[in-house]
Amino acid sequence: MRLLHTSDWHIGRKFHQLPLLDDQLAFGTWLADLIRSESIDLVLIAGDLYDRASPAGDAVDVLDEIFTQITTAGAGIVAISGNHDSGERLNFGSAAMAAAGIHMRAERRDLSAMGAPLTFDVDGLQPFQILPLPYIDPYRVTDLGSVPPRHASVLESVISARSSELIDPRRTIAMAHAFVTGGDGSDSERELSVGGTSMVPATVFSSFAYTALGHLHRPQQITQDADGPEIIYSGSPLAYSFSEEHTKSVRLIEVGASIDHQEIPIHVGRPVHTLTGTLDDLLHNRQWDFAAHSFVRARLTDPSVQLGAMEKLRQRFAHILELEQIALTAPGAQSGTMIRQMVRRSPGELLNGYLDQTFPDLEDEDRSQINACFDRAVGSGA
Amino acid sequence: MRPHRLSFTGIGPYPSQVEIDFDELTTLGLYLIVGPTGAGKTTIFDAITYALFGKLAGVRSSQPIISDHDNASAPIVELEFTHRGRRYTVTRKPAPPGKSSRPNDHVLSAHAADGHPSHPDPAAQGLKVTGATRVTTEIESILGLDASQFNRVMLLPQNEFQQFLLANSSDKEKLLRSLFDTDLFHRTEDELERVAKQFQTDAEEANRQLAFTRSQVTSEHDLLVDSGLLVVAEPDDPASADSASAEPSDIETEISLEDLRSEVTALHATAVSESEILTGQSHAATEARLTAEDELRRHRASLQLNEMRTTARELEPVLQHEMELMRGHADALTIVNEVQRRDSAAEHVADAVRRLSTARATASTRISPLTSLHPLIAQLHDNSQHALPAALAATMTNLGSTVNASAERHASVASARERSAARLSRHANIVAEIPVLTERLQRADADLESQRKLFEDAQTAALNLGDLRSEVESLQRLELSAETSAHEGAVFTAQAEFEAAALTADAAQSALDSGLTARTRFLAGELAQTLNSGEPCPVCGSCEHPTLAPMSPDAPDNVALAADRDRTHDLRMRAESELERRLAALELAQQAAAELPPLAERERIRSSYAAAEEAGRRIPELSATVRQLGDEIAALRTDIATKQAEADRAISEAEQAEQDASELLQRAEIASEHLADLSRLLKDLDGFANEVQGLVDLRARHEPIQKDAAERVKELLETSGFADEAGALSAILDDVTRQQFVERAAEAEDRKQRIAHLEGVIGDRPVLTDPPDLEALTAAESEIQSQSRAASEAVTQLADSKRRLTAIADSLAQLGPAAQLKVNRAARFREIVTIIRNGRMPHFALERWVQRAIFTDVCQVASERIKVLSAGRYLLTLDAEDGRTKAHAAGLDLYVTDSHTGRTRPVQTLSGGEQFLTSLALALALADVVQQMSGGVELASLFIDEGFGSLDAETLDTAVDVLRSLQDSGRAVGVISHVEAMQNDLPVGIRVSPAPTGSSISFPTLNTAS
Repeated sequence: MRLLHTSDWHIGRKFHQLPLLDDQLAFGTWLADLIRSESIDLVLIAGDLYDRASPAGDAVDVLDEIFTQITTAGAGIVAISGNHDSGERLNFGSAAMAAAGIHMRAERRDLSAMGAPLTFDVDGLQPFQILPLPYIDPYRVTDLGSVPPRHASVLESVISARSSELIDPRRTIAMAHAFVTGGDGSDSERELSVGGTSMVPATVFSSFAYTALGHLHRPQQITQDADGPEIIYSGSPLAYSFSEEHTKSVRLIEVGASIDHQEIPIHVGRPVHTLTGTLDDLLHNRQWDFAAHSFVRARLTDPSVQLGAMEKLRQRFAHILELEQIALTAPGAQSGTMIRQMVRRSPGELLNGYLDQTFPDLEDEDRSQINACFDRAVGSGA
Repeated sequence: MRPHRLSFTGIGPYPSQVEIDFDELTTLGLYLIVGPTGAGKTTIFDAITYALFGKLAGVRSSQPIISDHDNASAPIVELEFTHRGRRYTVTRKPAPPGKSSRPNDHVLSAHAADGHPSHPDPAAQGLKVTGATRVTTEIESILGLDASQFNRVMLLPQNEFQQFLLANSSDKEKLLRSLFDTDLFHRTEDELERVAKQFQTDAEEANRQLAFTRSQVTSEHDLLVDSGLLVVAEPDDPASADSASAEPSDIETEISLEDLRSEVTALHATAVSESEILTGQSHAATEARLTAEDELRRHRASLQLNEMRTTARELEPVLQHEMELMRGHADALTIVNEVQRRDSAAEHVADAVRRLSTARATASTRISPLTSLHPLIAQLHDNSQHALPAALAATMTNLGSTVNASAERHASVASARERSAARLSRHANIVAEIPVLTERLQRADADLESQRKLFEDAQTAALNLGDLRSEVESLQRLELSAETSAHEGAVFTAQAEFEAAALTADAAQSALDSGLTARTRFLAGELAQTLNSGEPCPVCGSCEHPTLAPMSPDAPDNVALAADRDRTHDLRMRAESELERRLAALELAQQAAAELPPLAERERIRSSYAAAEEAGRRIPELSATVRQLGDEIAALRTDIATKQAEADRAISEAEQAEQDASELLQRAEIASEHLADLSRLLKDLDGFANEVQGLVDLRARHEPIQKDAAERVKELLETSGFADEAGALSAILDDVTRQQFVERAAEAEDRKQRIAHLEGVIGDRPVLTDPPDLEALTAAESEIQSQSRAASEAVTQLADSKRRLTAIADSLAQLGPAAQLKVNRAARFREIVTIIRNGRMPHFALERWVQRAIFTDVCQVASERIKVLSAGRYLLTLDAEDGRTKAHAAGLDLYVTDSHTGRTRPVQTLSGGEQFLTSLALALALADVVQQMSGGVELASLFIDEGFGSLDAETLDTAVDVLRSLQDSGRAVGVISHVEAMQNDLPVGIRVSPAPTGSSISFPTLNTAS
């Protein structure tokens, strides 16, 4: 049996106000072709199907079209909801769709209603199971009981409740949408929860043969142990921020006597590139030709502010989205460290700084008179 | 400022109490406050603002705070918060419209916050402030913010928090001043202004003093002219004189000061010499006037003296004769007085002798009727003609003892009376006891009668007991047999037993029947066992046995079954006869029940029997009672007889005592009468003795006087010139004549003294015949004196003027240069202060410059967030392009630098969404920088009210990301929003739910988390 592991489609997402629906639909078509050519039986989508809880109508149209293409190509679907999805909306009609081979397992209000495993027969072999674990916001769950309000805890709780229904964890594929400790994030993921409660240790999934993860947009394998469990992020199909300059891919999983997998790169959509240099360099250097059709973020290193830079750069890079000028940024200013680096001047220093700047020829008598006034003002404010 | 707990009741759409624990919400870092529009999300902020400032701010300031729900409780808002290590609780009860609040409706109290060291000022530790305005003032000073500033930095309200971004510089200045305490520089500016003004005042004062001193020269000059000491020369040129008087120049004044000084010095010297001459002349004139006055006095005295001497000579002989007559009168008067004294004494003696004899006769008459009473009285009577007071006293003592004996007799009468009274009262007591005993006797008789009756009744009843007992016993028997219900039960049981027995018997019968059938089959089976093919059947003889009867398991025990059938049949028969017996018994019982008398009759019979039995039991007891009562009656009768006898005895004794008393009384009354007579006599005798003694004394006093006076008269007649007593009487003068003589003698003496005085006045020198002209001399003196005084005054005035002019000259020498220095300094400092306070192109005012320095930091921090929000496109700055800000006095206006164009433009040119995000970044940056500044306002909590609705989905995501980044800043951020998408991304801290009866609040996240 052949499965495809993908996640984080974010249908309806825009990139700097630019709709990506066409690229997302193109990915769907590419996927359908792959299903046909690779004889895929089942597509696993590990959360964040839509970009937001209440997706726009055209986004719903696109997802519907992609689902139609997948099923037409002959594959079934198992999907869980991610932190961007609305559990209630995705669960709509899921019971009816299950008969058609689309298994939608989105977040519900009760822990006990989630995680029911799906069992698939494999000719001549022991059946294998899929344990679908949607993203669960502990604060939205109504039957939390004594479970601490942490993502890892609610996941463990569901896994433990379903363990008796699993025939053999070594022939079980878990699906989850979570930030697993050790994962490498990008600018695209939204924080899952408050404080440090979002991280899920990899050990939560260590008993399963394969864990199909969603949430992080960079494709990556969490564990590198040869015999250990496979805990893998398929990554998003498209780049959704300039921090996603890597190659996008899906995972092909082959379930036979053993469970094997391989990475299949996606060649759909526009790549993203950050170009750093002077305006003149970016406009004329041939080395930037590769980015002509990419989404471009330009960082201008000119020492002075370049007027009309955006208009000029758009001539060469039609899809330029961001422009930053180093000259405009305070030297050494880094996010969060700004305040600590602020020159802390005492009121007295401020006063004399002002006097030096405003009255270069101030007589000593007048200066001491002004300082005496200042001292009195300090005293009167106490 | 960090809120801990907010509690309010009857506020806005919340009729009931709402309590919000911000400490718990703070653990979320960032949380949403959600609910439908109009449900009351913003009311939570209103409650905080109201608790702190007693009013709402901004566009909501006109909103009524009190809930208008019918079911609303009395409104109250309470907020606990910490600020700079102190924890405060403020409670306010809003007054309904038209009513004013009482002081205790608004209370602020403070205490050290948990885990913080106590406040350094112990006096502030127990802070407690009451009254709406005072609480507000105190909180404003604690927080350093008023309501609208609070809304700018802590509660970023709906539609309002963007205003700061777009606010003009002076509005920003006010907020920055509160937030960053740049008021210090404002105060410095004020101090500087005060100093500049002081310098100005000093300079003006110095100039004024200078001018004043100069004007004193003119005044001095005018004074001298006015007082006529200085004569002004007519000016030669009228034009120059005009200009000089209109505006005298400094130089002219200086010159005139020196001129005036020398002129005054010369005038002073002249005046001194003139004054000395006039003083000499004045002294001479006075001398002449005094001499003339003396001569005039002597002349008048000489005329008077001559006149008086003539009169004295004429009156001398008349005075001599009158003195002779006065001497004769005095002698005669002495003699006449003595004669009168002698005659008066003789008269008194004669009167005493006459009255003494009358008194003795009266006493004798009074005593004589009583002589029989006592021998002493008789003796007294005998002596009465000559008795002395001592004899009378002895007699009276003896009479007193007689009176005492009579009193003793009275006492024995009283004791006899007492005895009699005691006997009578004893009699009365005994007589009173008799009716009580009689009554008891009557009661005992009655008791005896009733007990005897009872005893007889009991005996009668006991006699009937046998009949009654048999009657009751037969009744009981009848009742027992009439007990039908027991029989009915027995019949029912028997019926059931009979039916059960019948069933058992039927079953046994059918068991026997089937046993018989089985027996047949068993036998057939057994037979079949014996059959062999070809052998004939013992029953039918057939040699073929196509169908063998099957073998039955066991042969039934039909004998036992038959026995069982018989046994059960017997049982049924017995049960049947039992049933019939029970039915018969029931019938008998029913008959008996019909015969039974009615229930009341049965009760009566039973109670009669019980009564009779009771009576029988009581017979012995009653007989004892009757006997006892008989004994009691006998005892009472004896008692009464004894008492009666005792009473009789008492009364006879009383009568005897009364008789004794009467006799004694009779004797006592006779004695008493004698005593009265004697007592009266005693009193009379006492008066008589006094009268006699008085008369004897009188006679003894007057007899020597009479003798002495007669001897004096004889002596005086011998020494005087009078022949006899009649001659002396004729020499007595009448009063008027004597008065005239005395007055004339006094006049003569007075005249003699005046003559001596006038002689002293005139002295030895000869008197002038013609007196001098005093009037002319006096006039001349006064003229010369006034001239001298005027000269002296001029000297004094000129000396003063000289001294003043010298002082003016000294002052001018000092004041001039000092004033110039002060004027220069004031002008220079004014220039500096004007720039510091108001700025002047290209310089900023001091406070504005400092605010720009700080605000620049704020902009840089804000830019970090704006970079994220705008994908690196915008930077926030205070400097307009091309340094045009330098020319812009405001200096706090905000601009964005657009990296796409490289241009800088006002923030007002940003789109609505961009403005919202920029405002958000700016507000957050303000809070960040304020937190870091010493002296700045502490902002541990931040609330953002709406505004997110204006964002498109993408921008909203970015905004949410920025808000999320705040979670690490250690601040609690509450975001009010009805934007549903945010609820998927941020935890809902507070949910507001509206209902027709008012809104309520729930804490969905806290409830599940706890």
